[in-house]
Amino acid sequence: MPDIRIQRLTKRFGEVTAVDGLTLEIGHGEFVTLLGPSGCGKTTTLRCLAGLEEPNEGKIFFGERCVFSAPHGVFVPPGGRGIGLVFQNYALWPHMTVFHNVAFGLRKKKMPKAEIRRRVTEILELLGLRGYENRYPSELSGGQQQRVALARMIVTEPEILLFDEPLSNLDAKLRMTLRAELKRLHAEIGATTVYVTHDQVEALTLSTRIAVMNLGVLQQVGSPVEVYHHPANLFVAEFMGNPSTNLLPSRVLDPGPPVVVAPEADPTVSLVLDGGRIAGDKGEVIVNVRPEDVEINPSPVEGGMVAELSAVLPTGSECVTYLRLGGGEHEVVSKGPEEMLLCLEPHQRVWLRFKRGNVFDRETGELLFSFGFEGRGGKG
Amino acid sequence: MRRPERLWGLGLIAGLILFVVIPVGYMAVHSFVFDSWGPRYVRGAQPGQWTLFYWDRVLMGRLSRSIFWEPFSHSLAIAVSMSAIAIPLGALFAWLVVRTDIPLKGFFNAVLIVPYIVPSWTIGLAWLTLFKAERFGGQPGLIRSLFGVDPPTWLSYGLLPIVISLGAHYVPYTFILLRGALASVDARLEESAEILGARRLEILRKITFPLVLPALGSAFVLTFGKGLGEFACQAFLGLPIRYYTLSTRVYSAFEHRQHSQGYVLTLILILMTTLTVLANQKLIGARKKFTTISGKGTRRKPVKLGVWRIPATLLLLGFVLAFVFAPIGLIAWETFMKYEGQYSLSNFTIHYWVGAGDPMLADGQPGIFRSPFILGAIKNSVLLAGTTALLSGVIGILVGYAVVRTRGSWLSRTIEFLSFTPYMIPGIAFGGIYLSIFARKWGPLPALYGTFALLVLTCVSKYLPYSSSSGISAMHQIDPSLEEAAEIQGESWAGRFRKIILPLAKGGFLSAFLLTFITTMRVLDLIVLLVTPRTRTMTSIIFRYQQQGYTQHAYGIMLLIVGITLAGHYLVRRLGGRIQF
Repeated sequence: MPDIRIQRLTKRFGEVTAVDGLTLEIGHGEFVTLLGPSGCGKTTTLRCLAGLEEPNEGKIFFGERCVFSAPHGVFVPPGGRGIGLVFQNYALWPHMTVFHNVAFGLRKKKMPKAEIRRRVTEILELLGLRGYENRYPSELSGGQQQRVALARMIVTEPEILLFDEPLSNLDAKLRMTLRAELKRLHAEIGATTVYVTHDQVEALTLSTRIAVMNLGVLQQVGSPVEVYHHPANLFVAEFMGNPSTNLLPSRVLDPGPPVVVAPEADPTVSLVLDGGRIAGDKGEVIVNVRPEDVEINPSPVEGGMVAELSAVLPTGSECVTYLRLGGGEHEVVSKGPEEMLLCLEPHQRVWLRFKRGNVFDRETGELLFSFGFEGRGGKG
Repeated sequence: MRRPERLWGLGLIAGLILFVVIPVGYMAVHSFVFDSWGPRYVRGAQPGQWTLFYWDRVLMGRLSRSIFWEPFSHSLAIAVSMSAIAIPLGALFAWLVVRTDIPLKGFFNAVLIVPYIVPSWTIGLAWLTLFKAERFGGQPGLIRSLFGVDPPTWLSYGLLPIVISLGAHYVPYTFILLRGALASVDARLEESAEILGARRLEILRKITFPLVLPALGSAFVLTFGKGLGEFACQAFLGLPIRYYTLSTRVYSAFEHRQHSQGYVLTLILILMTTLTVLANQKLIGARKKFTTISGKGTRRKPVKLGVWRIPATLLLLGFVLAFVFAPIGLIAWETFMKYEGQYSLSNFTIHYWVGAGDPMLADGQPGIFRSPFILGAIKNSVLLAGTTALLSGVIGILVGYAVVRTRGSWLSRTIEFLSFTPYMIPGIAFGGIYLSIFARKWGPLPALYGTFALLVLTCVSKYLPYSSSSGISAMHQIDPSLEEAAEIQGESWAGRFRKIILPLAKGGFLSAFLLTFITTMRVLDLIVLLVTPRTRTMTSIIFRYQQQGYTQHAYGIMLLIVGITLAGHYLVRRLGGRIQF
C-alpha cells in the first residue's frame, strides 16, 4: 500500500481559496481523517486526491508515483489513480441493480464474466448483502445503500480508499454500527485511507491520525488523543469536544513556573497551573478546560471558584451542568457521571476546581503549555 | 478529454449567436436601412441607404395612426381585457379545485387545462361557426340560421370575440400557476392564523392571498405578454373586418415584403414582450423569497363551500361546457355539414372527410383523407414536429449538461441567457426575422427559403427556451457524483454519457420530445410567413382554407390537430411530464 504525500496543495474557485498550501504526509496503511467545519476545504482536498478537481498549485504523490504536479503539468485522471471513493450520497446508479453497480468497475477491467460474478458475490457476502444482487438502489435502506457503495469501491481492490462523509446521511444508531464495520474493514484490507468528516466523534473513533482544517488551512495533525487533549490552537480546542470546551480569559500574575493566573470571571481567585512557563511579558492568556475536567464540589475547597448552578441536563449515562460565575456574566460547562450530580439543586452554590487543561496565547491563539496532565491536578 | 462540456458549451454559444443574436441585431440595424420598397416611398432613395424613414413612418408619419397607433391600442386592449378574464377565473378555479370541497375534482383538474393544450384559435374558430355574419362573405353562422338576422359585427369579429376566446384559452395558464402556488403554501401558516382566532375570509385575505400574490402577478404579466404576441386568433377574428393588431401588422408587413417597416414593428413588439418578461423576473425574485419560508404543503382539510357548493360547481361545469366541449363539438359538427349553416339531418355528410370531390362543393376539393394536398400537409406537419422535437430534445440535453456541469461560470450563464432569449420574441416576429435573414444565402448557410430545413431551423430555435429548460432540469436531477463514481472507475466521457447520463435522462427526454411535438403540431404564427405550397403544414392550410372559405376542410384538419395534441398531452401525463409555459 502506498503512502500519500501532499505538498503545498492550493485549490482556488474563482476568488475563493478552498485549500491553501496544504502539506500532509499519510503513511501507508494509515487511516487519516480530514476534520473541520463545512467550508474548511476538507472535501476539496479529497476531491483533489481523487482527481475530480484539478488543483492550482502543489504536488500529490501516491507512493513513488506523482499523480499531480502543477510545476510539471502532471495530472493523472481519476480512473488512472487506483483509488476508490465513497460519496456522501453514495452515488449509486439508480438504473442499475446492486450487482451491476458493483460489477461496473470489474467490467471496465475486461475481466472474464465468471470471475466478475465470483468477486462480486464474495464482496457482497463480506458486507452482508447476499440476496440483494437484483435489487435496485431505491429498494434498499440507507445502510444497505451505504454497504453497496462500499462494495463497489473495494471490489476493484484499490490501494487508496477515499471517503467523503459517508455516514452523515444515516441515523445515529446505524452510524455507530457502520463505524465499527468500517474500522474492521480497514483492519482487514489495510488500504491507505483518507476520510472526510465534520463529525468529531467519527474522527476520534476511526482514525489513526486526525488532520483538523479551517478556512482551507491545516490547523493540526495528530493522533486523536493529541488533537483532543492538546489542541494546537484555540480553533482546534473549540472545535473538538461536545459540549464545547470552557475558555476562560485570564490575567497572568506570575509567569512561573508554576504559572499563576487570575480568571476574569472571578479575579479574586489565583489559579496555579504547573507544567510550563509563560515567556516574555504576556499579560493575558486563555485557560481552556474540557467540561469533563471541571470538578464540582458542594462545599468550599481550597482555591475553588465559587459558582452557581444554572441548569442540569442529565443525558442518561452522564450529566451536563451549566454553572454561572462572577455574578452571572460568565458560564462554565461541566460534564460528569450522573450519580455525582443528582444531589445538586438549581441555584445551589458550588466550588469548582480544574483538573487539567491548556493555556493559549490570547493574541495568537497558539498553545503555550498544558497543565495537570501526568496525574497532577492543578491545585489552587 | 475529461471535461468536454466546456468545448461544446462554446460550440453552443456560437450557434446561439448565429441563430439568435445576429438575427435580432441584423433586424435592429436594418430598420434604419431602405429596403427594396424604399424608392417607391421616398424619391431618390437607394435600397441599402441609411435612413430614419421607417421609424418616422411607423411612429410619426401620416399613416402612423393606421400602421402603428391603432393596432398598438388594439393589442393593448386585447392583452388587458383577456388578462382581466383569464386571471380572476383561473385563480378562482384553482382555489376551488385545490382548497374546497367541490365535487369532481379529478375531472376538473384534467379538463380545465384543455383550452390551453389545443391551439389558441380553436375557440376563435368555433366562435365563428356561431356568430359568422353573411355580409363578410362565406356562409352564415348558427345565429343567422336560427334567427334569420346577422349578429352585430362587434359580436362576430374584432375585440370582443378575440378577448373572449383568448381569455378562455389563457384561463388554464393562471389555473396551473395558481394551483401549484396554492398547493405549496404550508398549511401550518394558515393553521397558525386559525389557532389565533382568524376567520376563514380573514385567513384568505391576510395569509393565503399575500403568499400567492407573486404567482398571481406572474400569471398576469405572462398572460399579458402572450396576449400581445398572439397572432392566429387575432388574424382569424380581426382581419376580415380589418381590425389590426401589432402582430397582424407585423404579419402583413412581411407578407407584403415591406421588410424594414416589419423590422420596426417587430422591434417594438419584442420590446414590449421583453418588458413583460423582465417584470416577471422581478416577481419570481419576490416569489423565491416566499417559497423559502414556506415548507412542504401538508394535508389540510378542504374549505366547506356550504350553500355556494352548487353555484360554484355549476360555474365550473358551465365554463368547461362552453369553452371545452362546445368549441370542439361545434368544430366537429361543422365538418359533417354539406352546406354551412344548415343545421338539419339531411345536411349531414362525410364528404369532407372521405369524399372523392364534387365540383359543387368546395370547388371540387376531395375529402381530407383523399386529398393529396391535405395528406401532404399532414405528412409535412408530422415530419416537422418529429424532427423539431428530436433535435430540440438532443440540443436540450446538450444545453442542460453544459449549463449544469459548468454551473457558476460565465459559460453557463451565457448559454442559459442566450437560449432563453427566443422566449421574448413572439412567434410571428420570430418568423418574420427568419424570413428576411435565412431566406437568402447567409454566411455559410445556403438560401433556405421554401425549404423544409428553414421550418425546422425556425421551430428548433424558437423552442430553445423550452427544450433547454427541460434539459437543464433533467440534468439537475442527475447528481454529478453519479458520473464521478464512474469516472473513478476509469470510464471515459462518452461511456459515462451513454451508460449513466442518457439512461437517467430518458424519461425527461421523452416527455420533452412529446411536448415539443404537440407544440409544433399546433404552431401557426411562427411558420405562417415561411411556408410555401411545397412545405405546407396542417396549420398553414387551415389559415389558407379559412380565408378561401373551405370551412369544412379547415375545421376537419383543426379537429385532427386537436386530437393529436390531446393524445400527446395524455401521453406526457402518463410519463409524468408537465405542461410547458
